Amino acid sequence: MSELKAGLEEIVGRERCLTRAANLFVYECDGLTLHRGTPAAVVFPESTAEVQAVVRACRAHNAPFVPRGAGTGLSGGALASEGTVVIECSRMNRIREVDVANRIAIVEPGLVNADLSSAVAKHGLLYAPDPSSQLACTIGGNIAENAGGPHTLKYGTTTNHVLALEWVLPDGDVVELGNRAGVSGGLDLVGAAVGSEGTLGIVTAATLRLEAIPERVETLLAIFPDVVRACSAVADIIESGLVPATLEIVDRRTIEAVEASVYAAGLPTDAGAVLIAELDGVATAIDAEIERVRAFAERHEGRVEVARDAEERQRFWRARKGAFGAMGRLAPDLYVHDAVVPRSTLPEVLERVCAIGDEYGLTLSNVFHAGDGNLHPNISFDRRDPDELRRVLAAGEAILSFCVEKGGVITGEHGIGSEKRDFMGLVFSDADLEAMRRLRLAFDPDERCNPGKLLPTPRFCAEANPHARGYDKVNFE
Amino acid sequence: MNTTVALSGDGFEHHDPVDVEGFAVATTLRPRSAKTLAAGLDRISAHGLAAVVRGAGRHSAVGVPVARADVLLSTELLCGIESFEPAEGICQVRAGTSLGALRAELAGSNWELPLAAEDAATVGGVLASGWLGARAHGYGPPRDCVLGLDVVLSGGERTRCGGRVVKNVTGYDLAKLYVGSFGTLGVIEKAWLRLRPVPPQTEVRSFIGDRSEVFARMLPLSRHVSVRACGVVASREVTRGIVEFAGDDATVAAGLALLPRGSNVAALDALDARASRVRIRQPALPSEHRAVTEALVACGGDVIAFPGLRFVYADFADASGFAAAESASALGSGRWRCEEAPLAEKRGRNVLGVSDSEVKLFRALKARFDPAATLAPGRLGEVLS
Repeated sequence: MSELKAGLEEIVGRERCLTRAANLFVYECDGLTLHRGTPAAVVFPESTAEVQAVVRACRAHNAPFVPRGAGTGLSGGALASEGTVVIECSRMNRIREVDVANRIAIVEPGLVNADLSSAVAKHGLLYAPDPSSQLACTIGGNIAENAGGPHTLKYGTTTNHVLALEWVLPDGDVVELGNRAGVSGGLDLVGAAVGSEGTLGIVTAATLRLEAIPERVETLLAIFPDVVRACSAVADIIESGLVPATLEIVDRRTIEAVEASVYAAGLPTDAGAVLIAELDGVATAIDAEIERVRAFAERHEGRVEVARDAEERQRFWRARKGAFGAMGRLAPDLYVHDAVVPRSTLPEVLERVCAIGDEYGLTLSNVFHAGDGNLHPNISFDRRDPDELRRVLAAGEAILSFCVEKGGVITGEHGIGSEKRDFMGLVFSDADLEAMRRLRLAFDPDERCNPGKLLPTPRFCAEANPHARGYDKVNFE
Repeated sequence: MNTTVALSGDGFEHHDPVDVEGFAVATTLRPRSAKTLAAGLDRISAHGLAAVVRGAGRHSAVGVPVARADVLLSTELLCGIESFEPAEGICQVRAGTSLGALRAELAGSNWELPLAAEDAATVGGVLASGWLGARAHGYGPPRDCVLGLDVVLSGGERTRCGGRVVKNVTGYDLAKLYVGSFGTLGVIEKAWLRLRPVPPQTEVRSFIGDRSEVFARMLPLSRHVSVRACGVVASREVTRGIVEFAGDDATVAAGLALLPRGSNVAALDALDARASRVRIRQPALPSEHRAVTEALVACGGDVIAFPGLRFVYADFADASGFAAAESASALGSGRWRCEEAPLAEKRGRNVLGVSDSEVKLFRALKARFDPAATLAPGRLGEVLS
């Protein structure tokens, strides 16, 4: 290892290679603080050539490595174990090119998501995937997780916006996947790479498709007596074929937390739930769409307000975007789940999710992308209480199991990482997982690139045991 | 090997030899179920034989000619609509189902199938070929409508990827790999598809003009939210722009206002595939379309350019189209791909338009997914030196 460390310092310089314990402490986890591990080193490359050299050095020393962006991931995807080198790409943050005429941008992985939209706004363009962490998360991380966000409903996820990738393979070769036009022959390697959670290689540049800023945007806030009726309104909207830009629900417990915090948005704290709907498109078409949404809401006892100006629009969104920050007032820790269910099952699923929270004696709130059926049941807790932690994990498993039972899946945008690896058996058979493993081995036969993520180990695979969850990896203080 | 003896059992049919990409094939596997498909593939693989998958055969000409074919694997009987869920806007369909049958099922609902191929094509065939028709502009490419797939691998393993929900990052997105793989990594047996709302109104308009004028008008048009399909049809004699507007009344009216002099012509099918001796597909960004078109037309090609889809089709009467494609590639963004050509003219050419490093990855994937080279060996160019 000391030889590897010396080699890494030679590649990136001593200032950009952390090996002392006091410095490595910061990189013990990502946004999933329950899972922790100490890497052997953290390097900060600033070019594709440096990434390539680092990967080759790791290969030469048979050392595993894990790519990392801003570390905002919520599934432990950037978790490093002993002997692993973290390749932290946040310094590769340039916008290499913006082609306004063709509405594409070529960017480096460390570019912050929101910074791209800010940079192209003057051209009347935006980058549509907008995860809630967009002020901090990076494009590379977005690509690794196939990130979504509130506007996924109309505009799709990251995979719908990536045209080409400059990619460092686990053997150190640099390849171009796809082309600027996003139309390539043969297999869709770009599609396979997006969402691969840093296990098939490292993106060092991405050609992204940009969208035009819509002609008109209107934001609606619908206030409901309870979250079930809000979900029913969403189900009706989806069935009608209307496609808003976004449909987000915030429940009462979240509203209370938000209104007691610096993110206070003036929402009625006696509301059971609020639905934020955004409509965009041709200016003359929006008014009719507003009335359709209003009708669906009122059918389920919702009361609709339309933002009068940009300030009010921001106020409505503050309730949603400040939700996770506001949770910090409830308890020191927050476990955010990420299941997806068919939209028509939302009312039933939300009822059951809330009941699970009650059954386990937990503080559970809901903030979610209702239009996609992508739930975020959030459990506030104190990890220093072993019994509460045990109940949190058990409740999480119960939630995921129920969602799968209703035709859903266990993650819509956060990814599997280390967190949900051992729940893959809830959704897929051994044969299904073996097929995924074939993809992984085709890119990384030595399994050195972000090992231990996404796929369960063969032992768990054979057991297909939904109760196996890797509690041994939880670091109790 | 006596395939009649080796390949006996449910689903296998033996017949007079038929030509399959230059090979005389006397056995067809025509399964009715996933179980029969799996058992049949297992048997084919166990005997070291090679199978070529075919649906309706409408888009089977893409790709490198196979290096071997012993069995024709027909999905003709793997047909049927398993479910249609209007509340969700999704359906589950067996691969051999024709698009026409699926469209008939959806007719009268407020959902439509976002695959742009003709009625006779099969769902599995369109997905396996990744066929991009004109309406892919509004719908997105076929990969975008696939939520999940049931796929039988070459050794008979029955697998599933994705799911039935519209947002899903549970595991690797294998569906992206299978779509457009020409049946070389596995056989699609069933698909969960995301449907699109039927637009309340559609209008098709066309306009003729000087080529530079047509392209100049088409680029901003192609970006309007009301446009579901658009293209420029260009030959030495004439250049025509065709646009399909779709949406609610106000949105369509806004789009039509951008084309005041367009004539009322229901000519959208002019943007669809035509019978062609040699057809190539050249990737090109919108700003490159005019130059690429000019180059291809100058070489005798009949061109359909899709600015919104970022590629250009060109049809040629003979193999001179390949030389034309080579010169046009320098003006576009990426290498051309051959969509249609006589077998003899495809052999020995890089008809997929992929790089050496991509072929290296194709080989690695092929080796993992189909180690015995049972499914259309050579189709991905993996056997080219």
